[in-house]
Amino acid sequence: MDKVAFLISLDPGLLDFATPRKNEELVPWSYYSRAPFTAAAMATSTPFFNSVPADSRTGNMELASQIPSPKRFLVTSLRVHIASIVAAAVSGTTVPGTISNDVNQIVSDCQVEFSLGDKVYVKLPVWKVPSGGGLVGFASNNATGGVTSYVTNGLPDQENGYEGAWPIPSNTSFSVLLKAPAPPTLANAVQVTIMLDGWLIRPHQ
Amino acid sequence: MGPAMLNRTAFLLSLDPKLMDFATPRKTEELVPWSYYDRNTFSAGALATSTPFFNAVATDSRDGNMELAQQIPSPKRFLVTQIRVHIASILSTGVWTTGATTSGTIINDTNLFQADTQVSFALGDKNYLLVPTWKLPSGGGLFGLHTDAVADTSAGGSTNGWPRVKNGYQGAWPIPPNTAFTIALKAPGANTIANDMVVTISLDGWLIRPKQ
Repeated sequence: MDKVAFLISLDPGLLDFATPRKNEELVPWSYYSRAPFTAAAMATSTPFFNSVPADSRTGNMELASQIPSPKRFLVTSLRVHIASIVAAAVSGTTVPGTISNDVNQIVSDCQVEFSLGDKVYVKLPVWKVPSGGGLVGFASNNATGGVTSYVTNGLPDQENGYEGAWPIPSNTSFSVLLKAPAPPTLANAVQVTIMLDGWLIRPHQ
Repeated sequence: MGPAMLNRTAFLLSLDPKLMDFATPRKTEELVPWSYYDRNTFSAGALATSTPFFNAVATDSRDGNMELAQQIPSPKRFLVTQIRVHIASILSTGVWTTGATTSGTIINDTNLFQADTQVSFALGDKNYLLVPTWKLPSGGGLFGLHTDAVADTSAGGSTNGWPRVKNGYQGAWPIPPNTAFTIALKAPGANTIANDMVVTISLDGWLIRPKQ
């Protein structure tokens, strides 16, 4: 947050963008988009936020790749969350290890790219964009038990996010891509969620 | 106050005079840090696609502390500054001693809640929040290590996010007096849990009420 506040204090254009007018309200908001990856080679580039999701599991965009007018959105942090498909791949003695391997490949070998129009604003390895959330805990097993383990992209703490200030004006196309120029092959199905945290400025209630 | 000294809530208030006005107590009022919480039990089996929280006055303090269902009673008003979701097994079922696989499935259930459900918050008919549950860490919970011998039973514990009280999703969402709000845990997928679980949603914030 300090970084965001400092950026806004430096740039009057950003401050103006983030300041609600008389008939507007400022709402903390997060747009998110989730894509499934199967146990196979990943695509070299996977778009996010490029469609309106069927339900809240897969996202909350109202319009593909845009913030609908009269709303505008200041992105203040980016996050990438990686999870196994929770209804499967959770029991047994070998799967958890391979899930950790899959997450490691995505975190280490993939990049996130955020563009507004044809201008790139962020391009970073996934390890640089921690989720700030996920499962924490401990597990053990005995000879007759199964094994369960989970890993997260970074320390799952909300303060642990890649912060900045990237304004998305109304009805302006943006793109967020997960890039894998040398696509890893995943052993399990995993879900990747990219989240844009920020401040939504919209007409007042 | 310089920007570097502000937290997220304070900075939002500094940008929006309406929020600042809402949060500022009048002469006859006091500002109290407060948390409203509400707990629901989920039985082993399929989850409902949407489960409301804060929609009833709890019979005792285990299950919540609302005075009025889905509303802050006048003349009080409440500025929500953090939203948290805590996920736990039902302790009375003896999860620590019931065998080798239960603790693993409890962790799986916790994982399912945090990775595949979402929380929505609306004031009237306007949405103020819709995020995956992993985005709303509890900021507290079980933390530690466990080992077991071959003859022992296994155990496990997990929390929704790093259990540190400052680890919360911060913002500034005003709830005026006697204004209906809805909070729901959504599970649009065909999600099934293996154990009975309890989920608590907590709204941290500032309660503005008449002075004592």
